[in-house]
Amino acid sequence: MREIVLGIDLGTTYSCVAIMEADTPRVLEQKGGYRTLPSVVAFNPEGSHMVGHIAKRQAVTNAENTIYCAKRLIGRNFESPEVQRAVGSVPYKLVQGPNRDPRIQVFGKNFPIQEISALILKQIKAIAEEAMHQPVEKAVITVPAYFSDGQRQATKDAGTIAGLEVLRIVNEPTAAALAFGFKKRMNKKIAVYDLGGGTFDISILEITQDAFEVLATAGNTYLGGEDFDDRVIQHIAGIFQKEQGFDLKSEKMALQRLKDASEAAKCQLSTLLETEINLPFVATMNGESKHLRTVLHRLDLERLTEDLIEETIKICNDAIEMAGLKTSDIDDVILVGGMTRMPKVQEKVKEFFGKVPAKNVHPDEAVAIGAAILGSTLMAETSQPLLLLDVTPFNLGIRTAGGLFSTLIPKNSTIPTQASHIFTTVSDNQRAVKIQVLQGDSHLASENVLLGEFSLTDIPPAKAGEPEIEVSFTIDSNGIVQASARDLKTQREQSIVVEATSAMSDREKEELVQKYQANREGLAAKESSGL
Amino acid sequence: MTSDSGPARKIRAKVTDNQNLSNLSAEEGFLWSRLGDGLPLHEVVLISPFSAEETAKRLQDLVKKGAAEWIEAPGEPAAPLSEFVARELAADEAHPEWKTLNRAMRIEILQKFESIEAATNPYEILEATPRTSEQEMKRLYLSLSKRFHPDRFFKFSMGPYKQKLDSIFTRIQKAHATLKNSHEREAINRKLNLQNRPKAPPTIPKTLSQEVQKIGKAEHHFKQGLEQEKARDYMAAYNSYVLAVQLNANREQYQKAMNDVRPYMLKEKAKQIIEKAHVKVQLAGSGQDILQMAEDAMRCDPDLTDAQLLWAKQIVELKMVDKVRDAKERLLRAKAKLPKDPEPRYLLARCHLFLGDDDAALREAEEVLKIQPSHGGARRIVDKTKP
Repeated sequence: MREIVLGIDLGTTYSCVAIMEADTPRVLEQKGGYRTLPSVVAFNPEGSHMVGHIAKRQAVTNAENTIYCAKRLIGRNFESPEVQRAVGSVPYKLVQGPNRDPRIQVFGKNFPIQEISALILKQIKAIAEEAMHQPVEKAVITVPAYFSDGQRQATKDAGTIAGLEVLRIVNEPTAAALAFGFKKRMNKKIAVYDLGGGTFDISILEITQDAFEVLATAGNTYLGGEDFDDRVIQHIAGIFQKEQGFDLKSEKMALQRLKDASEAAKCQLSTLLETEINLPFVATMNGESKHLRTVLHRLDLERLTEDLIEETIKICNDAIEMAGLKTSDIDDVILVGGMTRMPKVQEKVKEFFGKVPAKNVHPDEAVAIGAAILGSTLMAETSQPLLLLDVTPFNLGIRTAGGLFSTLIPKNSTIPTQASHIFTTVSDNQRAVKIQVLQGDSHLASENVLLGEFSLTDIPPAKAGEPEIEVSFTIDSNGIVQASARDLKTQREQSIVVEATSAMSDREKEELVQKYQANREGLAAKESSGL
Repeated sequence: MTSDSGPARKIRAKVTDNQNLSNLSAEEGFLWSRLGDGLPLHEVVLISPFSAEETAKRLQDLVKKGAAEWIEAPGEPAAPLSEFVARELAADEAHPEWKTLNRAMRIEILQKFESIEAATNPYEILEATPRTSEQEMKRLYLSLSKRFHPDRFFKFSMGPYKQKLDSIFTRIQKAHATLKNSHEREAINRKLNLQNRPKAPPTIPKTLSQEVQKIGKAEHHFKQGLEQEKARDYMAAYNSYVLAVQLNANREQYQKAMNDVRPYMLKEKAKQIIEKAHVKVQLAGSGQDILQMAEDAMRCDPDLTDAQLLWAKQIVELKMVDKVRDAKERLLRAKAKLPKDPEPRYLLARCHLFLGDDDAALREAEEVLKIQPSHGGARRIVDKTKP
């Protein structure tokens, strides 16, 4: 039996899984021929759950127990503006967890976001096992290039909880570039414009035969199709309010129906010039049923979302500049993500880069295919057929005196990479030093994302300023940060304690791994039947 | 292990009597022209247009024909291991768990680690000099990155070699990032007391051989193009000619071949696009992307009736009123070319409807029904427009 590595595109709204079969990538289909799986998990009062199409379909009647867009929350701090925005807009309940992380409350039980993502990954694993008729353990999972250390770590943890050995966390645009250029023996500079359900990434790559070198990457992890839907929802709800005097957003079921209809209308407007939104009996007011019936034109959608598209173009410009290139240097532009089906998006991209985007890349499947390619090359028996040089999207640094941020590894450095910094004490016989590690663009520590607080402990007693402790920071190929410390005088490894991160504790992770391992046999039959 | 593996051995072009060279194929000749004083296999693969396996096979053929030979890379395995490398290898004996990494790999890592630790400037790390050209630097950088990328050792348990490898890789990246920046490179050159010398001219033999290589490669692509043209694979042939022209712009022959095959290539391309579009039509009916494909096809081949029909159909289906007049023009031409086909007439009828000319629509629809009495769409138009 050949070992299979799954390439998993764990998307905000839809996920996709691919494998390599004798040098040819293949997207695995689910029962019913679906090639993508809605990234939706729903719970019911008996304590069981469902994932995918079946969960999405029952969302209208069970909105507050149906979890979607978990990817927009994963690995973030509860107090971050992104999570706070979600608290006000999602129908399910968000509470603060023990590590300052957001948790989803369903039937009085709190679920970490990693667990929700793990349930989706477990379903994907089951789909693959059913399609391949053999157990599958290994996977490469993709994340937006602009994901921080914490978001990557949390995604990796989700894979572990789902019973997968995560060989690599790889950036989505990079994976798409692999799908585009692997084994094509080209020498090109390309731009990958990835506008998905929840996030936007732009990566500039140089492909030299089998070497894929990311020159620069930029993005926004809170800008995607969901935001386009949101504009439509606000627009329609506004019209309804004006005409009927009823706020559709105040009622969960009406909002869910409006959300589904808005998403469908947006998709239809990629091919049609106008579409009708028709929701009979959407609300009841003073015992009288209200119906929603309105026509949305393509021009309406374009007007409502103009600034969102402009924002992506601005980020493209940043990326091109960081790569030290001009748009005319780009040989090919690749569009990835469902939102790139919108004609206006294509038009703006074409206008900015001055060329028609390549047509031979599937916007929903390229990322999973690229991940499968990478997975198979990592496990290749012979020498590596591929050289992948990806970069880190953020400056990595530490907090220094006066609350300033001192960069140790600049953004767009090729990973894996490392940097070190020498710390000392400020008072006599000081036994410990605290270090704050952050990621971000600001020169002020407080405006960047805190990855963690490390404590150097058990420093041998000495005069102030005498100890010299070198702390090495490594960003591995997954984009995940690790730290180690060494006393330069004694050359001894110095113990380092990680505190105060929003990451999941090892103990909790272990408990969740156990929980789903123990459940595996018992639940396997039940879950696959609910596909 | 076969004789061609490992970075320890290099393959070098053997210059003997001319008879040996004349029996080389174009591909072999191309590889031969690039070998020069000797390259390790992985570097040949990097510059070769063929796959790794194919390259290895062709090199073996070259050796068989007496046009190339394997040599021990000067000073590498033959020379005694340095004190540092020998000491580290000896220490490994106590740790059988690291032994999944074979001895050659460990030596490779240790030697590079030692040389990087001793390096005093980024050039030494990249095994380059201040005079190395940018292009050559890029090649060296990619080749070194490939040899020392942690992914190459992904499946091995590395023990203390992991840290060494990470350090090597990081240093290579930093050296390249520094030298890629022309300001920083200049600063380093000044520091190396080289500011009076001309800035990074490629060494003379390198330039010469690169020019020769380009000419050889261009000829190779041209010949390939001729064969492809003979096989009526016009798109491949065109690509080959373009490559030939890019590599050697002085040969009018290449230019002419390229220009001659271009119309055929475009016609072929237009047909391919339309074929793909028809598959899409079957799957999705109509849409913007199909419209775009039809436009692309018309751009390639303005006379392709299929493309015009498909385009007009999308305009009608998508109700793109502003383009209906244009569609009508094209349909009139298509109708003239395909007098027996109901499709252009039917679409024309729908265009007339859009334009409010019910009489004309009725006339066309009746024509359609004459050709194909069972045409439902035309029947509906007739019913609707008949006074």
